[in-house]
Amino acid sequence: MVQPKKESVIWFRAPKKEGNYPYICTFPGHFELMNGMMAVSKRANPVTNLTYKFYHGKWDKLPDFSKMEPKKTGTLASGLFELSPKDRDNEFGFVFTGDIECPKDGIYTFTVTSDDGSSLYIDNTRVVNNDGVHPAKATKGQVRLKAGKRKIEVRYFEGGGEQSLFVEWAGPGVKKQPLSPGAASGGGSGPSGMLIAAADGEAAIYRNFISDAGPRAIGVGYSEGVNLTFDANNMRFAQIWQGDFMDGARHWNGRGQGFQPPAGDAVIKLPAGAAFASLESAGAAWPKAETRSSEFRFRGYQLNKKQQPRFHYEMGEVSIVDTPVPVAGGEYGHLTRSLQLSAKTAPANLYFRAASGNITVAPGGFIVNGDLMISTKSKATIEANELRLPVEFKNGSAKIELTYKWAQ
Amino acid sequence: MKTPPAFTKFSATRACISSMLAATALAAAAPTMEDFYLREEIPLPEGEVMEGASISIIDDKRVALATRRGDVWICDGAFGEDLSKVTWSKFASGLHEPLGMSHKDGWFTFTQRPDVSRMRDSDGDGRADQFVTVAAPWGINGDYHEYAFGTPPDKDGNVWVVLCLTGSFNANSPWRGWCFRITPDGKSIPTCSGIRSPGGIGFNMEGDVFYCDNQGTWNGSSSLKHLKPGGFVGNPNGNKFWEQAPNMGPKPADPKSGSRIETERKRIPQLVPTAVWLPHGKLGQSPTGIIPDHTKGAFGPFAGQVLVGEQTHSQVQRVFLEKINGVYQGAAFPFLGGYRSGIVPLRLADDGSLFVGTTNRGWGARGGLPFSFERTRWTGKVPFEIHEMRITKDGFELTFTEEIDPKTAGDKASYSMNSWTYVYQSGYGSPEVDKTAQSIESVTVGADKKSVRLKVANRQAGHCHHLKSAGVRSKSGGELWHQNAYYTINEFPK
Repeated sequence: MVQPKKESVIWFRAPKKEGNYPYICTFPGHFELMNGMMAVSKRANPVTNLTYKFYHGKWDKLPDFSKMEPKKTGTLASGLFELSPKDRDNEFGFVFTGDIECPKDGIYTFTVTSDDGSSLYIDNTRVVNNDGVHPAKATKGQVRLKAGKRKIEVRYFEGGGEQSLFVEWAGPGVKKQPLSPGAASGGGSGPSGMLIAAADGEAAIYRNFISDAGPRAIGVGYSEGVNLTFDANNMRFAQIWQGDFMDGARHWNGRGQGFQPPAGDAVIKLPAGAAFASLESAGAAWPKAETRSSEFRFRGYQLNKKQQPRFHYEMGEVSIVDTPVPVAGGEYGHLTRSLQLSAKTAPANLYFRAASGNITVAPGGFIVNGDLMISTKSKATIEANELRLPVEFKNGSAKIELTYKWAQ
Repeated sequence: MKTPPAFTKFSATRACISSMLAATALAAAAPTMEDFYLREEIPLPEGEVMEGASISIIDDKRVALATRRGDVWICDGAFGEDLSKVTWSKFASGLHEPLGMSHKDGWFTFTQRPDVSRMRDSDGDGRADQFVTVAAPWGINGDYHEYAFGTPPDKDGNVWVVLCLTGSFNANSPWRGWCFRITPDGKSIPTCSGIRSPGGIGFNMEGDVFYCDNQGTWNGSSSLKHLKPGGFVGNPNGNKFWEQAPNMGPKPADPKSGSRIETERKRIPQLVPTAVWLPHGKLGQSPTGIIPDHTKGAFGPFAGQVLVGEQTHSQVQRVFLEKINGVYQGAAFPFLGGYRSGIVPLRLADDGSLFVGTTNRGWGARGGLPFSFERTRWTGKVPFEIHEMRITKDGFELTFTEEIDPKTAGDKASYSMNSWTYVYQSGYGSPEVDKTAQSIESVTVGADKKSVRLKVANRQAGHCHHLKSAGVRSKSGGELWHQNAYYTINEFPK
């Protein structure tokens, strides 16, 4: 029996007959989680001539590796994308280059799961962008390819903490095939097929680990075709999206490991960290995002007759009721939001941060990063690349109203 | 056997009678659960996944079942004679793994992964609409092992919560490995450290709080542990937060890996020894929910004792607890079995209806079903069992549920005892070690013919003592329904 955090290698002779061979751990009770499928195939790995360039460096997103001198280079004879040639666990990067044999013309899907960031190119066109500092997260990309040998390149970097890389693909003539050894961890393309949807005219709530919304995430799916997650660690909207709400399959199969991303499309992420702060001036730096806000306390939520929640939280003596309301229209609707604050002693210089990034003024509101339009009747200004609203109390209460729409 | 000629006819008759008696004894020799307890599966709503996470009794008609997927369903008719007539309604959804629920005056109080909350249907439409977060003092980071199990409110109105370690190994998020008391107005009181991987938590009849911890690091075998306020119950990984709880007093020293709890508790005054070992593989593998039998006899002869769920073997064990020199210890007995999946929550109603929720997802279980919701009731027939097993100055005293046959029950050859303990170490689990045989020196039958006192030599502090009472018969010649008992000794009576 292998002790925790230890490894062991088992040598065996593989079966001659092609096929799938399931394997399990026979320690009582372990088979539910410790199982896998070994595929024996006469078909060679589709990736050939796989070479790597290995770099040292400290980055928070993929650098331009072409401007750097690799620390070492080599070949991965297995033809599988993996990090084993590394000589350290943090602050390094890889560029892998090889050829991949596409059996047929058609649309291929590549999935890269990595900690930290990565990207995947086919014939010098980027197909997957999974950049940034994050725990094991999967991103997919699709591309139409002709049959034959195509150039494949994967770029990867690791900052600190855990490190992992897992590449897989699927397409015409290719049932989901791993291009890395082992299995995807944590945020891998998990099981699917258990879509959760709101009943007609209602909202559905899914409270679980949701990607980019934290472990205390509260997902809300509206039958109007819009969805949001509320992060109850920071009392903020974490993301909004259109279409399908959430797939429960990851958390409802086996032990339910990992973070589940939104189903659906057009996911817009909103700033991490607290959405309210007391600032010395309108343009002062926003307090650094905490994993869990020390100033706020989540108080729960109230459902209306349509099962739609309004959230209650407190910031010291300030009590906040945060009510999102979906508005139907077009293929998918949009969202409005009202935040009602009350305090016996109004805090001075309180601001609400609605968005951050590239923000421009437009007719009717503000365009954020080209894909989100925020409109508000409340006073709002762009400060330090953020859309900030001063919170003005009158007789112990204040109100902020916003509309979120997907920009064209 | 040579028969004296003068008694031939008489002996033949005696032989005939004794063979009839033998036949009766044989017929009574193998009691089964169905003789004493009737287990029934309650039909579930069509197409719904009802993996049991927690249960609460609402009134004498309705029981609420919270599922691992975060739904809360109410079963109406759960106490009826005809369970095919039960109806189900969905009361709430969107909870985050509610492992511990109770109901009072329309409010459900529950412990879920992120917090202790309350909910109720404030507008009377049959669906919960008000969800109040009472307290959320601990951290979670997305690791599935970071479970939180909670009790109903105790006599002071406090909910006791135990928090599984990250990955069941480390305390990577704040307060993992700790037990909290959450007061009705939402204050969080750190209460014990040392938790590893709980399967359930609950009270004994005195209102003291116990939880089950699974075999793993620093825990040689699954066990029932006493949550003594200010105590350190064994796994040191969460002790890093001790200084943030000034109410706990001085931080315990680190235990030495490879030792024994019995040795380390002499060095570490805060260390609370395991109350009752549930020997791995012999009495389950994954103990879960804990409830007292508060029914004053409606659930059979074990009123006042504690029932413990078992997830891998799909059973219910029975535990008799006693306090010796201020320290909890006692005996564990096998009790009920045959459930259709792994038991996690259990609740006993006043009328003696035992409800269990089950699941086998993620951790395989016997029984064949992925989940079930079952009701067990006492048939009214008393099983012949060891009722209580208490430690005495020179051995043990056993009481029985019915009159014993003094000849067999008073014969020391009817009993055997051996003991062992577990290594207290940072590695995962432990084999049985320090194996010792005890000798039953004499047996004295009580005047009431329902008890015996065993004089036992070579008992060991810190050991699980396995008593096998294979030869004991009841007055009517019946065998014990369960012959095995496992008594954990921490203290000897003075």
